[in-house]
Parts: sequence; C-alpha cells; structure tokens
Amino acid sequence: MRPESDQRIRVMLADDYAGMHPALTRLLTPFCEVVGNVTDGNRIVDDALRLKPDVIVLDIRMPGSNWLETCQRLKAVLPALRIVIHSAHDDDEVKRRALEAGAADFVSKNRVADDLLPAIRRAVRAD
Amino acid sequence: VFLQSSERGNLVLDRFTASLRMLLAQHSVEPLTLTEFVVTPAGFGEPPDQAMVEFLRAAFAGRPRPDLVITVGGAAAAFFQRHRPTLFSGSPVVYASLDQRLLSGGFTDRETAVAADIDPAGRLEDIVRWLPATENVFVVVGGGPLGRFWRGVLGRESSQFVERLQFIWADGMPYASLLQRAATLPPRSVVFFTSTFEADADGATYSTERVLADLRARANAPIFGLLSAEFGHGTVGGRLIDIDALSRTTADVVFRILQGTTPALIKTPSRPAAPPVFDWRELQRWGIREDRLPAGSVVLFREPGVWDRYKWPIVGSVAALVAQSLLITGLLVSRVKRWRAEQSLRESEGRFRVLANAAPVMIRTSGVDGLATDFNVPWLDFTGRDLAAERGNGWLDGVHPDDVATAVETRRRAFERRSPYRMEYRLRRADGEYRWLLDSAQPRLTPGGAFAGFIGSAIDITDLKAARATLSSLNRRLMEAQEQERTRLARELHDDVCQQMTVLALNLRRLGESIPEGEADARQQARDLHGEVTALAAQVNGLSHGLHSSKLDILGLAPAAETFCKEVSSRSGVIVEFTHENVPTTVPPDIALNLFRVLQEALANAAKHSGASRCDVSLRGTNDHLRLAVRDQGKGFDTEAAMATSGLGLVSMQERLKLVNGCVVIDSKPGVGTTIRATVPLAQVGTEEQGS
Repeated sequence: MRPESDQRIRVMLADDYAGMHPALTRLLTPFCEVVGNVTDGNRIVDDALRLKPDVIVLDIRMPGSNWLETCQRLKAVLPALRIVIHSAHDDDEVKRRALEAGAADFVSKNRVADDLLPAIRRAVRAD
Repeated sequence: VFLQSSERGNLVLDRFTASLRMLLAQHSVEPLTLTEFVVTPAGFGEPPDQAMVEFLRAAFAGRPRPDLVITVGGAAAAFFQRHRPTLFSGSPVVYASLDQRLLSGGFTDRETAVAADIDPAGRLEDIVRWLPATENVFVVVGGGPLGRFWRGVLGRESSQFVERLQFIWADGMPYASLLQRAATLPPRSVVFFTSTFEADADGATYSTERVLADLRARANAPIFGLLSAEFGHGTVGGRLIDIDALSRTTADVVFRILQGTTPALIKTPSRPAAPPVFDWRELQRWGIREDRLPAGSVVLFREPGVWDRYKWPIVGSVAALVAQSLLITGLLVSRVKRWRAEQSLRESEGRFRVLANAAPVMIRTSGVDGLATDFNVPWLDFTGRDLAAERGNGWLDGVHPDDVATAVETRRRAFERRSPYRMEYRLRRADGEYRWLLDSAQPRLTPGGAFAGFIGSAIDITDLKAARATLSSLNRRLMEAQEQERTRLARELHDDVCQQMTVLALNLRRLGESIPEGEADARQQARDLHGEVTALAAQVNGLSHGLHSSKLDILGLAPAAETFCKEVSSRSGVIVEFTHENVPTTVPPDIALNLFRVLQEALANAAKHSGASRCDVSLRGTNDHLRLAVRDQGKGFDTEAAMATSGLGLVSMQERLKLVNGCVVIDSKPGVGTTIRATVPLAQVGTEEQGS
C-alpha cells in the first residue's frame, strides 16, 4: 500500500506502556494517522495484518514476544510495512541488530520528541 | 803375695782386698797368682812375731820369691816392715793402708805406699757443723793395738773440741758395757765409730761388721763412721774414705811396678775423704733434716716410700681400677641412658595413646605396606568393631561401596609418594548409618628419618556436609533472590518510571509548543523542563542498566555475550575472541543470566589476573546442553588454593550454575593457563514467558 505524499501516514503503535499511546498520538497526529495501539506482544502481527499501517512504531520490550522474531515475522507477512524501533536502550549493538532484523530505523526514547517523526517520514520516503 | 792385717770379717779390709783382687784379675795382661796370708792383729806393733815369719819362709821355701808383696792394713805393714830384711827380700812392696799415719817412713827404693788421710778432726768438725746441737761424742775405738793407736791419734785431735764437745771413750770398756753405754747416751750425742774395734778391753775380738750391727741396734744416737765400706751398715755418712778408690789406686800402682817401674818413683798422694754421702735411712731415723746437709751431698739408700716401692703396682692397680670403674660407669651410663630412652619411649607411647584415645578424632596408623596397624578408641567406638577386625584392610569393609575404590586409590598414590593425603568417604557407623568422614594422613618417620607408614585422623563431617549443602542452597537462593530483586527493580525503573518520564517529556514538549510565540520566556521554561526530564530519564535508565543488563533480554545470550566480549576487549586491551554455534535464540532467562554472569566473572578474572594477551570464549549449543568455555594462556593458578582462599568469584560461579542444574569445571595449572567450562542442561528450554 502506497500512501500519497500529501496523504497522512498510517501509523500503528506497539508499546506496552499505556501512557505512551496518548503521548505519541498527540506527537504524531499533525502529520500521521495513528490507526491503532497494541500493548500485547502476541497480538502485534495479527493487528498489523488487520490494520495494515504504513509504519509500525515498535518498542523492543514487549511482554510476550521477542522483538527480533516479531520483526522477522512482520517483514515476512507484510513486506511493505516499515518498522521503526524505539527503545530506551540507546545502544549501537541493539541498533545494528534492529536494522539487521529489517527495521527501517531506530529511535531512542530519550529523543522521541525530536527524532520519531523524521524517522517515520524517512522510512516512508525510503520505500 | 797379700799380707793381710786381719782375718776375714773386717768390713773395710775385706772390701779393699776383694776390690783389689778383682781389679788385678781384670786388668792384668798375664795371669797372676795371688797368695794371701793373714798376719795376726795381735802382732801389730808388737814383736816378736817370729812364728809368722817362719811360716812365710817355709811357705815360700823352694819357690821363686814373689813378684810383688802387698800389705793390706796397718798391722800387716808394720809386721812386714819389721821383717823386711829377712822376708821376701828383693821383692817390691806396696804398703796399702787407710791412713798414712800407720806407715812409718823410711821406705827403700823397692817400696811404695798407697794410703788415705782419714782426718778424724775434719770429720768431727763436719759433725759439729751439720749437727750444731751436738754436745757428746761417744768414740768407739778398740782396745787392741790398732785401737790404741787410733785412741792416741783421736785423743790428740779431739783436744781442739774440748770446749764444745764432751768425749766418751769406749776403749776401756768391755763389749757389753760399750753397747750398754751406747744405748744410754745423753741427749745430743753422736757415736763416732773408728772401725778399730778389733778387740775390746777384755781382749775379745769382734768383726767390724758385728760391732757396727750391734751398735746400730742399741745406740740411741746417730753413728758417724770414717770409711765408705762401713757406709750402708749403720753409719749416717759424711765425708768418707772411698775404699774402692783406694783399691783402684793400689791396683794402678801394682801394675806399674809389675811393668818395671821402680816403686820408690811412684809417689801416691794420700787420698782425702770423698764428697759427703748420707744414708737416708739413718737421716730419717735420727730426724736429721736434709736441708742441713752440706751442698753437693748425695743421699743414698733412700728408702722408697709406699709410693716409690709400689709405684708400678699402684699405678697399675689404679689404672686397672680406673679403667674398670670407667667401664662399669660407661655400662651403667649406657644402661641408664637406654633405660631412660626406653622409659621415655614408653612414656611417649603412653602419652600418645592417652592423647590419641582422648582426642575427639578417629586415629589410624598404618605401616609401610599400607596395612592399618592401630586404631584409637574413638575409631573403634565409631565402627563398633574390635581392633583385630579393623587391622590390615579390615577397616575398608566399613567404607561405603561407592567410595572404596577412590579411597584405596588415594591411599595407594599417597603411599607411593609418601606424601600427605586428604580424602572424603562414607564409613559405616556402629548403628549401621553411613557417615561422611574427612580423613587426612601424614607420613610417619622413625627417629632416624625413615618412612614408617602413615598416621591419619578422621572426623565425621556428615553434619558439616549437610550444613555446607544448606549454606550452598541458601547462598543460591540469596543470589537468586538478589538477582530477581535487581531484575524487578531494573524493570520497574525501565518499564514504568522511564516510560512515564518519556511521556512526561513529550507532554512538556507539547506544552511548550502550545505556548504562543510571543511568550518566549514561558516557551523557554517549557523547553528547559523538557530537557531536565529527558536527562533525568536517561539517568534512571542508566541506573536500571546497572541493576540488570536488559541487553541480555533484548539481544539474547549469544549477541549479549559477543557484545560483552567486545566491551571487555576494548576496555582491557586483551584480545577476546568470541565464537558461538547452535545457540538457541530463546534461552530461558535464568540460564542465560547465570551463564552470562559466569562469563562476566571468568572474563573479568582472565583480563585482570591471568596476564594473558588473548582469551577465547566459545558458546555452543548441543541438543540438550549449553556449553560455555573461557580459555586463556596466562599464568594460571592453584585451583584448590584459590577455591579455599580468595575464590569467592569461583565459588559464586559454581553456586550460580547449581541454580540451573549446571556445573563449572575450572582447569588451571600455574604456568599453563586457565580454562573454565560451564555446562547447563537445556531441558526446560521453551518459550517461557518473560514476566514483567
């Protein structure tokens, strides 16, 4: 699915922390459409298949799932889906592995406010 | 021809004659025929002695006249001089006499004389000088012709001493009275013996030897004589006429005449008295101190004391006694030493037995062959068996069947090396229960240092082992609890606090953006607040990481291990080579965590202590196990010592792996390097839930 350039980017959030959803929604809304939020690691792939977002913003620590496996499965079932990883672990090794696993970008939670939107935009454009 | 003045029995003349005869016999070139005649003493100075003259003429009738006539003594000289013209005319004559006074002068050219100078006055002078206390002199002089002659001489010569000495004359006494008088002399007396007592006042004749012997037996004062021949027969001594010297001189004269020298040409000076000699026995008897004697005195007949007489027997006896004593003492000392040594050994053995039996440990001694020789009471009490049953290898019957082989092998090796050993095994107690024993043994040495076997002690460590197991499990649970708590805290901070702060930061950001452009201060304040919260979130995040590495959770064991190895490498400079193979992506978190912790500990040790420049880490998965190996080629260490002392890290590795039913083997040798191998079973590998 290919969004128009002026069309708002459809974003799905995957974060187990309840408070994160409204905060990120507020952050992204001016430019993106937040189509859903999943807090259960086991439901990520199912919800993604159902909602078909352009981008999924994935917290690497999700209960019930291994993020690397999740990445691989998502890429397998939804090859067009862009995955942006965000994590409190601002670590090069983690970043490298995220990119290896098929993620489009990696954003440190400390820099979410500044870096997330540009990362999402880059991910979509890079397609 | 010898013409003698007296019969045999005159000490002096006999001595002289014997000596002269011997000298003539020894030194004569041709054999000499010596014929001896005695001229009766009665004839001395008293003619007529026609009978003797007739006898001699008759004896030499029809024989050649003698080659030489020797008269011995004053009587013979006087006799021969009286009959010189008619007797042995033409024969040369030697008049030998004790004193020149006895020879009336007027010799023909065929006659010569050898005589001494008796010098009675000089001898009296000597007595007075040596025994200044002397007051009385008992003069023993005979009543015969010779006696009368000497009485005259002495009477004259003694006159110079009358002021100092009282003279008692024996010439008018019968023999018995003489002896009686000699026995009752007043104090400070001496007997002056003249060798002239050929007859007493009654005309009875006595030999000089007898007179002297009787006098010596009876007299209560020292006897001084004049001639060396009397010396040794009872006289004290002094300057004496040496009869032997007189003999030698006479012999010399005889030989010269026999060789043709005209007798008249031979002038022999009268011989003076010899240097003083003394009879030690007489000095002792009369209490005459030797230091009073003149210088150069010779003391003869020194009666050897007990020491002198029995010196050698005494020395011998004493030596034998000493040797015997030494031998006996030596034997005794050796016996005592041995007895003491035995006693000490017995005591020592006794003490040891008491000690061994009182000790709260079980004690076993073994011989060089490894067979047990003795057990203390606590051992026998423990097993409930008697000594005979335990001896040899009997005690091994009680060792748990699973432990026998190890125990036997451990002991065999120790006996071979003769080095101490320690082992743990189970031994059946009297009640049938197997108890764990810690048995440690030392080689025994004889006093000489030879190997005598082993002595070992054992203590029941069953309770200790249980306590140790309890401690170990407690330790594990503590570590587990700690790890869980840290993990929980870390997650709490990370998943909750950090998330909240992230949201807070986002909201602050949004707040700032919602403030109108004109209110720059408020916008700035909001931006500052956002920055502060973000910084705080980063701090808390760091704290969370410190408590529990979430990297392991995020990346999985192998990547986390790899990352860690890289970190150590860059931090320490040691090259850490990491390899992995067949490691499951999802390893149960506790296994992953504990293996990771072991890796952390092992690598930290290697980097810090081994001194190695390179370290190899491998992580391998098999069907049902995970194996971690950390290998360095550094200096290594003594694992037992390290475990016992500073090996907290090593101990915690073991304890950690016990938590996941794993084990760790530390293989290290000084100088060779260290390899730590950890193995954990993956039986419970599955998709376990990662609880939050």
